[in-house]
Amino acid sequence: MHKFANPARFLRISKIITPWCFILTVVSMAVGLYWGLFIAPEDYQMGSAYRIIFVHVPASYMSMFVYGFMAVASAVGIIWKHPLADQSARAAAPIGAIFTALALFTGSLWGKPMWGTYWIWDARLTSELVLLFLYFGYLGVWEAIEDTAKAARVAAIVALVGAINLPIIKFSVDWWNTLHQPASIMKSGGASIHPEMLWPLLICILAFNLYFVTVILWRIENLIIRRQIRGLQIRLAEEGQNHG
Amino acid sequence: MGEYAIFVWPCYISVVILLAGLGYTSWTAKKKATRKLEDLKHQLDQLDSQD
Repeated sequence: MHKFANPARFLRISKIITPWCFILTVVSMAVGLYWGLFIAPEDYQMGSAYRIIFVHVPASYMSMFVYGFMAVASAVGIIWKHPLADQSARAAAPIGAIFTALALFTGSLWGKPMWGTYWIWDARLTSELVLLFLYFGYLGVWEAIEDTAKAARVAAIVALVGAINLPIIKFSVDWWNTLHQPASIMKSGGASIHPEMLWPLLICILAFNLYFVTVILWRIENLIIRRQIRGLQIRLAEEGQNHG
Repeated sequence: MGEYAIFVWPCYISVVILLAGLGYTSWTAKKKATRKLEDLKHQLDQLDSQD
């Protein structure tokens, strides 16, 4: 795994992978969203309002997955002090924040017709909101501390401490009495959704995962190139002084 | 979609706009950084050739 963590090798591999990931993201996103909006049958109880799950469930799942990814990358950064791990966590944070914001927004639009309110201080909703603040806090650390190495250490601690929130989000519907329904896909005994509704949902989840891979690769590439730019700027300044 | 269209459409539209927006800004930032790196390499080559 360490050989892929070499920035130059990473850039070479990333340049090959990203165009394919981008094409697959666009295709799967278009198919998933179209299927969810127009082809999947109406729910006999919730009518067309249930179509919100085709974007809400993938966004919610990805909001937690990305934070988990950040926590693992941060742990690797702390233990092996590899800058690419820190950069990966940093690159993932804005994507995770967007997924979390979308999960909260689409969830509130689901809540109004289903529960009669856009928001309630329910355990699942509140812990998801805490996740959004954790993302903001993590991003804030990177913005606030100029020294990159120090920012990486502090941000990694924020990511690792915040990871405690992930099982709270996941099991909040089991531990507390909440308005939010319990798991209906990832549960023992298999999914309790009809295949005609499950397939577009799985395609949307795949599309959101591919989107994450594509965008994080772009963002990591950007961070690596910016590091190289700083190195070259220092070299240019030194050579400029020698010529002067 | 009937009476629920007012809830369903904003969800899909916000997903498309936000994800496309973040994707576009990430891609353009990478492109911009790549161009800047090429410029700096070019400047460095020019300085080296003067020696």
